[in-house]
Amino acid sequence: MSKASTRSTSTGKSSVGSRSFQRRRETKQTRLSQRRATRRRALVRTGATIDLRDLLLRVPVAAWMCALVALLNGAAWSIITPPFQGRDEPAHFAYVQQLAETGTLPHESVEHQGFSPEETRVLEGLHQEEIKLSPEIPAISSTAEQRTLDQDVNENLSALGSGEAGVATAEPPLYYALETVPYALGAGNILTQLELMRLTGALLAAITTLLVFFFLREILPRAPWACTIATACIAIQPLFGFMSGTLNPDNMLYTVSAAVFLCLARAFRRELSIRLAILTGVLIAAGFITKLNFIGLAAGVFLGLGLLGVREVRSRGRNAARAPAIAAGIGASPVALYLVVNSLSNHPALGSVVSDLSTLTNKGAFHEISYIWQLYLPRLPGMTHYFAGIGTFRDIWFDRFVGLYGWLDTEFPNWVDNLALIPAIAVAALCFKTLVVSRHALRERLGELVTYASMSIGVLVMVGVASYASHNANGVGAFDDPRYLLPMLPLLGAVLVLAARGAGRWASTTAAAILIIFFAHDIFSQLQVIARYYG
Amino acid sequence: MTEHLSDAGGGKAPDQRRLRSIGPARVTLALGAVLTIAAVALTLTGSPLRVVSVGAKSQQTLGSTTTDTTLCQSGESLPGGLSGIRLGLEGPVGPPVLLRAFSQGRVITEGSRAPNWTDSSVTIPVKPLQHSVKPVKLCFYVNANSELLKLYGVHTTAQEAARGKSGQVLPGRFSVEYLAPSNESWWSRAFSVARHMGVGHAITGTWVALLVAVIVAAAASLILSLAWKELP
Repeated sequence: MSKASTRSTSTGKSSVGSRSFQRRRETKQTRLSQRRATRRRALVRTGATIDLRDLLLRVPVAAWMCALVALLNGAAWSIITPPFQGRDEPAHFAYVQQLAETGTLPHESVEHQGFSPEETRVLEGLHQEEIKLSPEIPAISSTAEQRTLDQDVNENLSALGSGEAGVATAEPPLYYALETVPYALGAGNILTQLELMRLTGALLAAITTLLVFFFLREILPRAPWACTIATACIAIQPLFGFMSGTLNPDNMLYTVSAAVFLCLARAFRRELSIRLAILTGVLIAAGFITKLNFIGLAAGVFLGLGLLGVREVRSRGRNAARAPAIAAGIGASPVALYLVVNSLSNHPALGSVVSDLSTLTNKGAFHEISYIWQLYLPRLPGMTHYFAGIGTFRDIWFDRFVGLYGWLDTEFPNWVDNLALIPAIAVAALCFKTLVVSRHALRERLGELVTYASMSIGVLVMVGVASYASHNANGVGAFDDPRYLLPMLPLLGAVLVLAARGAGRWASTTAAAILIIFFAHDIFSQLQVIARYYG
Repeated sequence: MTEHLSDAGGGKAPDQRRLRSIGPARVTLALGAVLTIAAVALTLTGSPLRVVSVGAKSQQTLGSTTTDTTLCQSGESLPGGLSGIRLGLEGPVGPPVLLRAFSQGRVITEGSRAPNWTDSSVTIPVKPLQHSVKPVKLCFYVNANSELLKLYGVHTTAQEAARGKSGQVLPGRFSVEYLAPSNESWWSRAFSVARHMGVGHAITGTWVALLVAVIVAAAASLILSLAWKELP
């Protein structure tokens, strides 16, 4: 949003001179937009398509700035976090290495020989196993350790492992396929490869931020400046920054999810054209082959497409159902293909998902629902106590969202978590106030809201199902991590915009305060990680 | 006419306009940025905690529990300047821990840690101790949750081993390390931290820390200038 148009929204008591100055700027701005619109209409009339360059030129400078901030933040986190100290990074690296070196997907190995000799040696040189989960042990620091690491890196050991990729083995390949590009660019030095792969994550974070910007402008067009500030907050949200600075398929999941949110917002607020339907379908398909957690989001997406279909049929007849059907068809194609391939090769139709399902069905649906409920909400009477002594919402989701970095081993002192409750409650209350005040407008957008809510619930349930499977298999369930909820980042942005609007005449001051809190949170998170690994 | 007068007001008018445009939002932004920088500077005047002595340290498992537990071990020696005690406990969602140190039946220091720590050890801040004290009986109480809690330590004879509340003997002494603030502040350790950051990465050298600082500063100035422009 331009400075001039921003000013036009303010209601300050400005002088006559300043008002006329504003009027002139606004007129100039309107003329400029009219000229742009005429040019666009001319392009459409002549049948010319709006090319990518034109599309990129239409992206506001504010959006580019937010994206650049996300990129820089991710890059800083990628350097601060020692190699292979991101969540499950060795496993994700092994997946990319397997894909790049052999062109095949990882698989469970009977011998359990682990990662490639090259990766194993470098992990030893970095003391990766000793450092992870042990906050008292810093990253390597001596010249001798660096010399050993240099030798390990330059030893030219085999990059071929047993074909296993640890916890990443069962994940779909799209993100890892993308990461083979930086892997190839950094060939010859495993640490360079990892750094380039991490920077790819930072790039994905920049794209995610751009998509969040457009999503917010689409759903909350009345306060464009607040959308920009909220996007800026997302760009510097420290958990998002930390994840984007590590090698993890979650980074692509965040991007795909943000894109799906944007497509649905456009479809609900404008119309689901065939072009948008194809794009939505492709994104859903991409989500399925990015990370299994997308299944949770997909349930809500398909519900949204169904609601759009009903709306379109009611207003424009049966033919209008074509677009949602196209989106759903393209989106479901990877799942259908997976089922067919498994059936033809005499494997269980649902593949590795079957093992998860079998652990779920052992104790019955009630236990599973009870577990998932308690993972987020207080236990109800009659439910088995799965999290005795743990306030799951506070201890697992809130406190860990406030700060849990590295390999789940770098956190803030408890007083920081307690302090963070104050702005969090204030933001929630202001957002709630706006929702109550705008309840009539919400009723008109019920279908869209139901879609976003079911997408969110789908993600929560999916995380809960995986946690329950882990609880049944290993007796450990509370390793849950708020990063799994970051596919809902666009909704966090919306909450921030609504909170700012809820402050009434103090909206802009509140937005500034929220931004400063996010900024300080990011800076102190980075310092905390630096102190843990290098202090 | 007024427009003419306003725009032709010499050097003062644009300044006044600029001043008027600095509303409460921009003041909040500027003040917030300054406060953040001040808070960082103040935080860095603190000193990192360092291990000054070790009671016992090993990753051998002594036992595990999912119930409330009290364990004590005698013959500990607490160093002067002590302000934190690290215990060898591991849990996916660490439970609340209360720790007390006794000398001649008197509590000489104590501390507690709220739940939700996640590591293979837990550091409990305690009331600072001015002088070293020994022998000390160290006890901790764990208000267990549903997650399995592991206790690490060193296997010893039954005589030296830690004991439970009802007198049951553990197979050894639990891991314990004593921490005190180092003599240097984070500021005075800045170069050492920067040198450390330059080890073990794809790019090496002390300048890596400078690179991070430049990137963070660039991101910070971008975001603040964006907010400055956008806030009404």
